[in-house]
Amino acid sequence: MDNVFQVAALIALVASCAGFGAAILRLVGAHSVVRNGAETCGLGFVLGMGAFAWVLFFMGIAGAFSPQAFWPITGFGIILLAVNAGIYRGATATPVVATQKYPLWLIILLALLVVVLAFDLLEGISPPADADTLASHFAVPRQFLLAGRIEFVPRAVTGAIPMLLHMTYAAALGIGGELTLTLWAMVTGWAAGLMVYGVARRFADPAGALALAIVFLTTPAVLYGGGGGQVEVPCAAFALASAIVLVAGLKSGSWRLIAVAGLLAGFFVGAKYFGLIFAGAAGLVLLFHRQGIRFALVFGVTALVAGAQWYAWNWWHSGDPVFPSLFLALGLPDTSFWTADYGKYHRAYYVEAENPLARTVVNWLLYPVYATFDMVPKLESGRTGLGVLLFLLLPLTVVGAYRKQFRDRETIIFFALAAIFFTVWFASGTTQRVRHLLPVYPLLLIACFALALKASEAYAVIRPFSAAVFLVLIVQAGGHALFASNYAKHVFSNETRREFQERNIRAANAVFWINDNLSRRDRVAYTPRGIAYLFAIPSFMLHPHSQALIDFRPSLDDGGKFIASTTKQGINYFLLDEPWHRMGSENAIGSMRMMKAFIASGCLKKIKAFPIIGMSSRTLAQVGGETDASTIALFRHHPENCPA
Amino acid sequence: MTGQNSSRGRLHTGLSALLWVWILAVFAAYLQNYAEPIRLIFGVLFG
Repeated sequence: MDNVFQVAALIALVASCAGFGAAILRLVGAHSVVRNGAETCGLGFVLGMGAFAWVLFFMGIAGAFSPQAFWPITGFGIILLAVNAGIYRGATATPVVATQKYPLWLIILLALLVVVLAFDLLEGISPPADADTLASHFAVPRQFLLAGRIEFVPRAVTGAIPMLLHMTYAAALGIGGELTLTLWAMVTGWAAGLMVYGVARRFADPAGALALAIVFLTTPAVLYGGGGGQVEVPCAAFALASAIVLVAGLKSGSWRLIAVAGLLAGFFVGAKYFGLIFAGAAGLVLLFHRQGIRFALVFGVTALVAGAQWYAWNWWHSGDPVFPSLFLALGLPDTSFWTADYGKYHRAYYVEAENPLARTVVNWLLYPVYATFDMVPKLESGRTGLGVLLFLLLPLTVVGAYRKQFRDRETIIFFALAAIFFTVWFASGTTQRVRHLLPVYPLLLIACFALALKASEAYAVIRPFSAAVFLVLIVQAGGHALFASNYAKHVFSNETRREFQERNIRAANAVFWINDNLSRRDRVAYTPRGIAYLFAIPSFMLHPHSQALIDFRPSLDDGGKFIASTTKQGINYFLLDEPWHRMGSENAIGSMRMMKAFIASGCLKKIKAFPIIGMSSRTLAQVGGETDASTIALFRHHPENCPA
Repeated sequence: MTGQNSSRGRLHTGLSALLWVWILAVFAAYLQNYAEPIRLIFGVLFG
């Protein structure tokens, strides 16, 4: 019965977002620019999702962040859908390309789509297991929900970030539950796939557009993040929706459409720092129009209205709108949660971990090669990459781009947005992991596919073109099957939620023991970040590199300062990974020496040790992939035995 | 005219062949990314 309620909550949430989107589309007359049903449904849903999340921010800072507050706003969206449903009903009008050249292929692709969606559903009805999601994307909204308000989380990368999409996660968790949340993450991924299909229908027949949508949905980076709660895939939907409305606005000269494009770009800004780059790229493109300055102004203002609230929130609490990126540049004074000294350390660590490539013109040009053929492991382009279709179609894309009659405004603008985004992203010194390019990947995918398809038809080489798409579908669908088998094992067995999470999440067994044996009066500091979401009692992520509330840098050996800051945070238990309390000769670093001294003096007394299994890939661990057995231990803090 | 058509046909065949070679070579290189997963899966399937 609970599951039925949670699915009903999901349907209500989807309907509500569709309602908000339909109302905005009708208000500005933007529904007239979309070209087919898939585009209308995708655009309406994506627009509504952003608007819904936008409202929730203001409810959150006002302290009205609870299911009781979420239901009325959800209901209002459903009423809007009832009033404006005609927009979606009328959207099934004749598509631009109505020919069905390959009905057999269409049937095969439809069958493949059903399989792909079924695989996604297996993940959607399983408990969450992704480490980033459990550390941040689901954990922080849950924290807000428990607090009944949005709080400033003074943690770099996983705390003080734009959280527009996280608002929808909080709503899903609040009005439904965990099943609603995981299914919602799945639906937001599908929305991006629907958008890809809709835009591809502008130049391809149904089979071609469907093939491209399946290529997108099975892209390794989409499998990794799409249904798991990562925000890149919904951001891709924002970017694509913004781009198509922007093109329509430029064609018609309508400032209303430019405003809607700005809203969508602003939602991307509010969901991820890299949205700033996309909005800047779009603004630059607009400047080439004869009304460029006016359009760029309209676009910029609406983008700010849609996404700037999270930057204002960060600025209000820390003085840095993109915390902690500008902390040093702005020369901000030290606070209780961040200091200039820690900022320098964090920056150095971040560069070491996230920037394997020097920012040179050669690396900028070769990045696509590195990132396609997994030549630089830190780019993570294997299991979380963007696939190989763009490379396979490269000769045809180049030939297509050379022919003037194949280059339409959509293609040029899509290329320009993707190229500017990539260039600024690479030059900015931010993370170089390839999956962060996912938000502009559909733009590039659609533009290349369109040019290559037209070239293959013009030069009668449709067979190698189809073979390239077919090969990609085969290998990606195979990867998807392997990825989904982990969830299938859970869904088609009697495995409980707890057993699934103990099997897939490092140190989950320790958290479940803590939840069963400690109380809400306790507070546990823990080092493995991917368990944050699981705690049922107060907890604190003792991250050595991204928070300074309790300085736990490896070089630290000031026991008195450490104990003082943990006491200030009300911490009375520590859950520590084996290397942090067992000093080996190869790991003789300051913080380990400090913890060893605490244990020797009785400042920390071991309560229980737990065997744990770490794995670099949950998917590959099923078939014998690399795992790492170690232990984690729970310590009770005894202040009377600690250094002053 | 026939000679022109024949020449165009040879050009098309050559370009098509080059495209096939490109696609197969790039795809084979890409599969190297997944050498480890493929090895593991074959290990499970065939002992």
